[in-house]
Amino acid sequence: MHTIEDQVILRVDKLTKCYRSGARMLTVLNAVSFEAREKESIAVVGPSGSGKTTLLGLCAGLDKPTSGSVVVGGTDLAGLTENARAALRNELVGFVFQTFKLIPTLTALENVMVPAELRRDRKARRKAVALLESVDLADRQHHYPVQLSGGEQQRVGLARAFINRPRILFADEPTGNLDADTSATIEHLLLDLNRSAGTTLIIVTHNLELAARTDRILELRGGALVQEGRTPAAIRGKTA
Amino acid sequence: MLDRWTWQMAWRDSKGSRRRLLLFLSAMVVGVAALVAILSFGHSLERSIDEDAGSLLGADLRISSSRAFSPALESMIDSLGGVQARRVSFVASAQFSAQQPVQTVRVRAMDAGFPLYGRIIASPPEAEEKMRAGQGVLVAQSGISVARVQPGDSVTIKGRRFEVAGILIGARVENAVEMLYQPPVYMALADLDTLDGRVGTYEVFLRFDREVDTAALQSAIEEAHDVGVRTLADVKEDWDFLLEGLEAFLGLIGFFALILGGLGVGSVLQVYLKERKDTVAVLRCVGASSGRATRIYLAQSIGMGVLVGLAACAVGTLGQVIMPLGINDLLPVDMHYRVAPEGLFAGFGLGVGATVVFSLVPLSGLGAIPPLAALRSAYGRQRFRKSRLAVYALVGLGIGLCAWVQVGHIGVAILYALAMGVAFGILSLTAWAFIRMLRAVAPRIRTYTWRQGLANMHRPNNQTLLMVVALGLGTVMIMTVVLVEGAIVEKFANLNFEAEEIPDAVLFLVDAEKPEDITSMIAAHDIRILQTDILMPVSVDSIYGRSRMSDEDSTGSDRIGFDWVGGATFADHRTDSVLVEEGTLVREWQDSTQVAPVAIHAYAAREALQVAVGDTLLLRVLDRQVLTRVGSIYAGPVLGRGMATMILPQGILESLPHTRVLSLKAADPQSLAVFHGAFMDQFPDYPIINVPLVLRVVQEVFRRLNYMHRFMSLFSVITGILVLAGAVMVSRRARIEQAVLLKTLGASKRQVLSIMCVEFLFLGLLATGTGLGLAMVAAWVLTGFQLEIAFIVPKVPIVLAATALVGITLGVGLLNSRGIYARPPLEVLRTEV
Repeated sequence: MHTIEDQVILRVDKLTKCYRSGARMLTVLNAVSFEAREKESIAVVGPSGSGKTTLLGLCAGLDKPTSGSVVVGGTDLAGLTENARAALRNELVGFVFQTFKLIPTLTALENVMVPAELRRDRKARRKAVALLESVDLADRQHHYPVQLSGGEQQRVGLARAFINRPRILFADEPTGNLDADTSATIEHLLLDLNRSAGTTLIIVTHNLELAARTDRILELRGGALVQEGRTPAAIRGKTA
Repeated sequence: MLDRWTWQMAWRDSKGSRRRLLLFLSAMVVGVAALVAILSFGHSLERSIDEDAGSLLGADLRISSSRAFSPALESMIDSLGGVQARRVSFVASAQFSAQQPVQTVRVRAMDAGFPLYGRIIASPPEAEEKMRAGQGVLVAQSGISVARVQPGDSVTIKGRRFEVAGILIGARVENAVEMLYQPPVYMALADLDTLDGRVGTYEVFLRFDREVDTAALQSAIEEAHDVGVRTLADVKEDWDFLLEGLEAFLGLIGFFALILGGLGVGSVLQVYLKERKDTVAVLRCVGASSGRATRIYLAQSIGMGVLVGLAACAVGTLGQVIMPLGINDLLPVDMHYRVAPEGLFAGFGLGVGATVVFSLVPLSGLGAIPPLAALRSAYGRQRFRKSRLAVYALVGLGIGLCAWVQVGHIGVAILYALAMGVAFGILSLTAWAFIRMLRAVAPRIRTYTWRQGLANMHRPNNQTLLMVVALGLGTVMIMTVVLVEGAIVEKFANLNFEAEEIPDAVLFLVDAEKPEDITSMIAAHDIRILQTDILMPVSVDSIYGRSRMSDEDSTGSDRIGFDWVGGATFADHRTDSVLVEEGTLVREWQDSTQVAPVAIHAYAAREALQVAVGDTLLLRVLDRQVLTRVGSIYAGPVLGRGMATMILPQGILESLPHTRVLSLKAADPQSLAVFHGAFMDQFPDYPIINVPLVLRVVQEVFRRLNYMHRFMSLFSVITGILVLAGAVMVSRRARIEQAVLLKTLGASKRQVLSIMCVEFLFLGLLATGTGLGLAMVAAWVLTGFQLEIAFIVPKVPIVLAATALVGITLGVGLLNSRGIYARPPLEVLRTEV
C-alpha cells in the first residue's frame, strides 16, 4: 500500500535561479516550492518571462539551480553528476517540446526509438512501432520530419516521450505551434497517454483550456509561484 | 566505447549530409594522397633499383684504379673466376666539327663483354656492333652544349679522328647527371692503343655464377691493393641516400597539402557540427550523456577518416605514375610501378589519424552543449573551456608528429607546429580585429548593398573568422612554397655568366711541379686569373681522443665528424674578412710545443663536427697529422678562398704540398673552349671545371626537379580550393535564408547578388592579404636563414596569386549560391531550407 509520501514523484523546494546580466543579477525563479504526485497532471501557467520554462528545465535536471532542491523519484538532483542526471532522465523522464525537436536526419520511427536504444532496449523497434500506431502514424514511420506536418511531428514527439514509459513527463507548450484542431488532437493524446501509462504530467502552457483539463494549475509571475488551484476559474477568481 | 548503437546513430545522422561531407573530405583525400604518391613512388623506385642494381653497376663487383692493374692484382682477379669484362675511361676534349667549340667528353673504351648486366642501346641498332668492331664510336647526345652529332659525322679525340657509328641512347651504368656535362663516347678497347697520352680509370667488372660474399671480397681486395671496389650493396646505398633526400623534399610539400586538408576538414566540421547542436541537446534531454552524444560524431569522423584513407590510397597510388614524368630520364632505371604496402598503410593511417585529429577541436565543443539548449537556443552558446586547450595541444602535437615523420628532425617539426600556431593566431586576431572594425564602420556606409554585405561579416553566426583562418592558412602554405621556390629559381635561372665575379673555369693544381708552365699557358690564351686559392684537403682522425681507427666499425652518432672532409688554408690578411663568432682567430703560431689553435667555419664546427671552442682535434692534412684545439668559430667566407672551412695559423701548413685553386675568366666562350682542349691535352692530370657548364647542369636538374615540386604543389592548390569550396558551402543555408528574406521584402536579384559579391570580395581580400603577408615573412625567414639565399619580392607572381585567390573566393562563393537568385523565394525555401 502506497503512503502519501511515496506517491510524490517530484518535490521542488525553494527553487531559485539567478542569471548574471552584465553587472546585474536577474532572479528568474524565486523560491518556488511544490510537489507532484504519481499520475497527477499539473499545468504551469503565467505570462511570458515568468520563469515557466526555467522551472521545467530545473525540474528535469537540464540545468542547476542557484539554490533550493529538486527531488525526482526520490533522488535529489543536486548530488548527481551531469551523466547521472542524463541517466535519470532516460529512466524516469519524458519530454515534449513546443518546436517538436525531432532529429531531422532520422525517420519518425528512428526518432521514437532513440530513448529506448539509449538504454539498450532490444524491444525498441517493436515499442516504437506500437506507439506510432497509437498516435495514428503507422503509415508515416519511415518519413523524415521534414516530410511531416506540424501535428504529425508533435505526435512523433509524443510517441518518443512515452517509449520508456516515463514516470514523469514534461511538456513545454506542446500545442504552441499548432492550429486549434491539431492542438485538440495533441491535447487529447497527451492526456490519454498520461492516464493509460500512469505518468505524472507537467505542462507549461498559455492555453487555459488545456490547463483546465489538468488536475492542478500553478501560476508563475515574476519568477514566483503566486497561485495554485484546481481550475483556471479558481486561478482567475483568486487573482481577481 | 563506440558501441553498435553509436555507429548506427552515426550512420543515421549522416543521412542527407553524406554527399556534402564527401566533397569536404576530398580536400583531405588530396592531401593524404600526395603523401601516398610520394611514399609509393619512393618504394617503386627503390624496388626498381634493387631489381636493376646489377645493370647500374654493370656487374656484381667492380674493381677500379687510376693506374694499370699490377701483376699481383691481375692474378688475384684471375683467381676470382666468374665472367669478366674490362673498361678504361678518361676525360678528354672532343672536336666534333671545326665550327663547334671543343666539348669535354668521357671516353669509355670497353671490351666485348661489357656490360655484364643490362645492355647498350644505340641508334641505329647495328651501331653497337660497329663500335665493338672498331669501326666507329657511339656518342651520347645528352650534353647540354654538345654538338647535335649524327651517325656518319666525325669526332677528333686526342688527335685521332673517329667516325660516329651511332648515337648512344641509353646505358644504365651511366650516371644521368654526369652525362649532362660529360657526354660519354663509347669505343672498343682496341681503339685505346691508338690514342696518345695517359688514361684515367682502369676497371674490371665481374659477374659471379655462384654465391659470393662480395662484401668480404671487397674488404680483402681493398686491404691488399690500392684500388676501389664497388658492389651492388654500394650502388643501392648511394641511391637510398639520394632517395631519402628526394622523399624528404617532396614530403614537405605533401605535409603542407595534408595540413591544408586537415584544416579543411576541421573548419567544415566546425560548421557541420554547429548544425547538430539541436540534435545533441535533444539527445541529452532524452538521456544521452555528453560523452555518448559526442561519440556519435567521433564515430562519424572515424568513418570519414576510413573513407579518406581508402580514397587517398587509390589516388596516391595512381599519382605516383604522373609525379616523376618530368624527370624520367634522370631516373637510373625503368620504373616498375607497384603498390607500396607501407605507402598504403601510412596513407590509411594518416587518413584516419589526421581526419580524427583535425575533428577534435569541433568535437570538443559538443560536450559543452547543455540539454537546456533544446528548450532555449540561447543556452547553446558555448563558453571557452579550459579543456579545449588540451585539445588544441593535441592537434599541435599531431601536426608536430606529422612534420617529424616527414622531415625527420624533431627541432624542425616543433618549429613547423609553432609556425602553424603563430599563423593561426595572427589570422584569428586579424579576423577578430576586422569584425570589430566593421561593427563600428559598416552601419555608417551609405550604399545599402555595401552596408549589408559588410554587415554579414560581423553579425552573429558569421563565418568570417572561420573562413579567414581557412583561406588565410591555405594562402600561407601555398604562397610560402611558391615564394621560396621563386627565390631558388631566381638564384639559378638568372645567373649572369658574363658577370665578372663568376669564373668561367676553375683549375685545381694539386702539388703542381711546374706551376709557371701552366700560368704561361693561361696567359698565352688570353685568360685572366681572377683569384688563387690555396687549399689543402683536411679530415679528422680523432675527436676528444676518440680515433677514427678505433671507431671504424661504429655507426650513428659515434661516426660524427669522421666522414667530413674540408678545405684548410692558413691565416693571412685575407682571413680578416671572416666574422669571428667565438674565441680568437690566431694568425701566427711559433710555439711548436703547444697544441695549435684552429679556426673552424660555424657550419663545420656545429653541424658536421659538433665541436666547441677548446675541444681537441687531431687533423689529417694530406699525409700529415696536426694536433689542434678549436681556437675560434667563424662565419662568412675567407676572402678569395670561399672553399676554406678551416684556418690554421701560419707556420704549420706552408711546408706541405699545396693545392692551388685558380679561378679563370675568358674573353669569350670560344677562347675558353680552345684553352680547355689544349690544357686537357697537355696537363691531363689536373682537373678543370667548366663553371658555366656545371651551373647550366644544375639549372637543368633543378628545372626537372621543379616539375615534381610543382606537381606536388598542385596538390596543395587543389586542396586549398576544395577547402575554400567547403567553407563557402557550409554557409549556404544561412545565405539562402538571407537571400530569400531579402527577396520576399522586395530586393532585386541584382541587389542580392551585389551583397554577396561585397561579402566574398572582402573575405577574399582579408584572407589573401593576411595570408600573403605571413607567407612573405615565412619565405624571408626560410630563404635568409635556412637556404641562405637572397629573398626578392616577386611582384608579378604576388599580384597574380592575390588576384587569383580573391577571384577564386569570389567565384566559388557565387557559384555556390547559384540558383538562389533566379527562383521564386517560396520555391527556394521549400527545396533548400
